[in-house]
Amino acid sequence: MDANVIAKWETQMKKGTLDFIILLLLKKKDQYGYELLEHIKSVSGYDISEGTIYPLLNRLKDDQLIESKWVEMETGMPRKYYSITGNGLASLEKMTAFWATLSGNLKNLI
Amino acid sequence: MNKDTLLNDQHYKTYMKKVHSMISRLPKHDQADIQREISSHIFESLNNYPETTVEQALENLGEPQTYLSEWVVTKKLEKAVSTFNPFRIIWGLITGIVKHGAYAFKYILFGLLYLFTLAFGSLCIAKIIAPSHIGLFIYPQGFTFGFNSDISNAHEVLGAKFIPVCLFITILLYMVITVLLKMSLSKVKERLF
Repeated sequence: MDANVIAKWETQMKKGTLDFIILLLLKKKDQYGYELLEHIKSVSGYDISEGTIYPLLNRLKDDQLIESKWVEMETGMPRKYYSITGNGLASLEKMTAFWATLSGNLKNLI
Repeated sequence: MNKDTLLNDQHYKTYMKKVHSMISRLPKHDQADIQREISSHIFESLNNYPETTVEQALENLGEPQTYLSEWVVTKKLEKAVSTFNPFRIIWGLITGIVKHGAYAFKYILFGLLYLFTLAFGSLCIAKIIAPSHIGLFIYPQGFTFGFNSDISNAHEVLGAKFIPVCLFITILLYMVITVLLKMSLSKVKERLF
């Protein structure tokens, strides 16, 4: 029972923080889907199903927080590079401030 | 692995067929974009970890059904809603009901609301067929809007204005339901992805 509750809570936490993590990573540099996925895994330790990243990136694009462009590669297989938009940077600033307040408050509580 | 080896791999071909069947109802441009991105992902996965087999790379990516199903349904409905095209919206709702269970109840509910709107709109045609039995009837105890078989104690007040009034209400209902569906879709997207 407890494990179930924790698993649900972890899923919600992952969902809630993935947007934030993606925007933080794209603020550092433009990245293609697979590269971004590898970075998400390494910075967060999240074990996410690879395919789920694309609907998420698509939603962030629809929300105009990120944009994408195809880049032809020498290998013959193009890469779709994602970058953060002005709206994305503005949202990220607010998310960062919220996160700093929340984590500060939680630290005091824990 | 080079591009041609991947493109000729049997596992890859089977996987991409599944992808194609999932997205075949999306606009051609979106189909090409999704297929290209999935191919690129598999290619990068194999080249970042050369010891990985195509089968493993596809397993890591997941079954197309698991990550594409809801995405395709919401994308299709979003496009339909943005055009306000009733046929596209109904087709999108049917796809949503048939292809995925998570939000099927919500799509059924919207389907019923559209059905109610259609019934309302059909009163305009009914008014032409049976003008004396269709209208806004006032009784001593209340009123009826629509069909009335017993008109002996009723007084119809709209007359020829019934059709434009009915049309206006139908269009208004359609617009309100469609805007509600649009708002509901963005919530679905936030919850799912």
